[in-house]
Amino acid sequence: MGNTVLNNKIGHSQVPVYIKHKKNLSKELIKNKYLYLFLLPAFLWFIIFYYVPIYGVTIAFKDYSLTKGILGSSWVGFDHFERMFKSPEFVRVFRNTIVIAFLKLLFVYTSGIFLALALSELFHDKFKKIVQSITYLPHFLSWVIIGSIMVELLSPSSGLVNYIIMAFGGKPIYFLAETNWFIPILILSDVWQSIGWGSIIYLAAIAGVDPQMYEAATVDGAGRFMKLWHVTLPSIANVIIIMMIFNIGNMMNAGFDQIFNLYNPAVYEVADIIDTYVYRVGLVQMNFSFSTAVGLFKNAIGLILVLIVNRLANRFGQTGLW
Amino acid sequence: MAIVGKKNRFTLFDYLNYMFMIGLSLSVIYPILYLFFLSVSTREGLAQASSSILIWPQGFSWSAYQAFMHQSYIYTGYAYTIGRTVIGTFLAVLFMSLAGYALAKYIPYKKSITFFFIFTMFFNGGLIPTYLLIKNIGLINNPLVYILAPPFLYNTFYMLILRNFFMTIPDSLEESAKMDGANDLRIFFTIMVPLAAPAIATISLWVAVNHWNSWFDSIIYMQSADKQVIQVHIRRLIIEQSAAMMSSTASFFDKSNAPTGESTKAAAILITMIPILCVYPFVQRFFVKGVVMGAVKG
Repeated sequence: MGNTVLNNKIGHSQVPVYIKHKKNLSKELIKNKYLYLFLLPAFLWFIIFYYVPIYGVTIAFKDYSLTKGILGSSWVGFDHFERMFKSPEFVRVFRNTIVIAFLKLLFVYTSGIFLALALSELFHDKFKKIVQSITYLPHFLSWVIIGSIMVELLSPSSGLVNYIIMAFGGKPIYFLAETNWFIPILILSDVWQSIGWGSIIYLAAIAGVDPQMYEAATVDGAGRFMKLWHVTLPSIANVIIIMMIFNIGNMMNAGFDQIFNLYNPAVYEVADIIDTYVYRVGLVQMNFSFSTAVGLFKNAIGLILVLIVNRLANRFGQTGLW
Repeated sequence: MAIVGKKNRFTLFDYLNYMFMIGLSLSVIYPILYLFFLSVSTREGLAQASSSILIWPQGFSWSAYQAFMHQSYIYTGYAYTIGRTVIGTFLAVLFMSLAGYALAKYIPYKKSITFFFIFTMFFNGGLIPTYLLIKNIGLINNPLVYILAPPFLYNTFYMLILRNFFMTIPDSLEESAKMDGANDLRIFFTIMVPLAAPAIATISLWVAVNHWNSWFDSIIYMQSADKQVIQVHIRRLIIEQSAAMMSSTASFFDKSNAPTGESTKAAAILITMIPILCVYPFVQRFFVKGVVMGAVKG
């Protein structure tokens, strides 16, 4: 992932050409005026909607007040960060973010690989296509919809799941309000949503394996599982490792949309993550500066992770992000 | 099972594998089906508390849908959802294609410009600074925010996928058009857009789905409920379990034949899902193509 999309290979080879052109830059600008015109709205938009907020991050070091604005508010240095590290709530959300992200890496990310391998073992192409189409569907539903379906199905009074539990003589369980149940439900629903879509990239990789390798393995007497283990898996190992690396780079995002639509105060202890905490402290309690500090801390770690991961990807022999 | 004939036998593993696939598919289909049974069941039917609701509606009536359709918010909600999806997708794809095309061409400082865009993928101001910006430029409670706010008008990742697609179009086409006196604007719209149609179609679908499914921007940037998108109303009805919303829905009918709250909620979920369910079978393959375009090749 990211070989050609994000890597500017062609740009590299053009460097000498640029140097030659720099002499008559104005000529270049006029020659390419339409191209720059195409870029102009993008340029302005990114400055306004991305770079101005990056400047706005300074309020993490200020005592922001709505009336004084960003410039007028007084500096407080690292006060918010000190408060943050001392706050037990922050420690809790940081821990939850890491735990949930790690569990998702362990189960959700691997589920796509398993499904791809299992799909490639099916004999009937038509059946395989139908299963694929059906399992991709949840990817297109928002977490509002999925959350609503789950609230309905898991409701302790009228939900389908508890109906079945009671039919077998069990006691109804309030799945979404019990700390023991919440995380398994979170992981399971994420697997449900992304297993199909997550398998596509591995299926494409499996489809690209040279059939001669399988033939050679058959000649050598390898059975199905031997081929799976010694041919298929090594052939797609590149993709698996690259996808894992990028997942690690994205670890600070434990899934705001999903958790925000499923959690409630009863499970904050295990479910509250940095993103939901930033939302509540910032936009509900209107604690702008502190919330920005927490968000900045998260983004900084995220950036460091991406830098590390990119270096890993490069070392691994794949082209990284840049 | 002629295909199986070549040495492979249907082993225990295969039975388990096929059963797993069927189970997985059912886990997607059945909840939707169950919600449908629930939504068309009558109050009397459900009162009998028979387990046959699991496989068939109890009684039959569209009253839950009628009760839900009676709400004014569903119309404004849908209007904003459809409006932002149509207008927002068109503008986003137009502007991203223009920028993606320019980035695919050899212009001075291209590397720096590309980095200027890519950097925002890895670091951004975060929730509060972005919110304050939107507030300061007067987009709070302004429907324009649905189209303009990040990550909608420009999405770096989609822009780069478009750029990559434009890079695969041979330069010779452009050169010969230039020789005939066409400028970049003309070349873009008459030559490049038709050639890049597959990529543009795929990106359009992605952007459209993102617009359709988006709800958080509506919660934080829109204060008045009559400007919020349908997803937010569904969220309020089912996830926040707003009592006011339920009672106003139920009061539409006199008590005896009013749909139950559960039926109404099921109907509400289905109504929001139906457009996706209807379009999905036809466009699904484009999405898959897109993943391969953006990921494997990329």
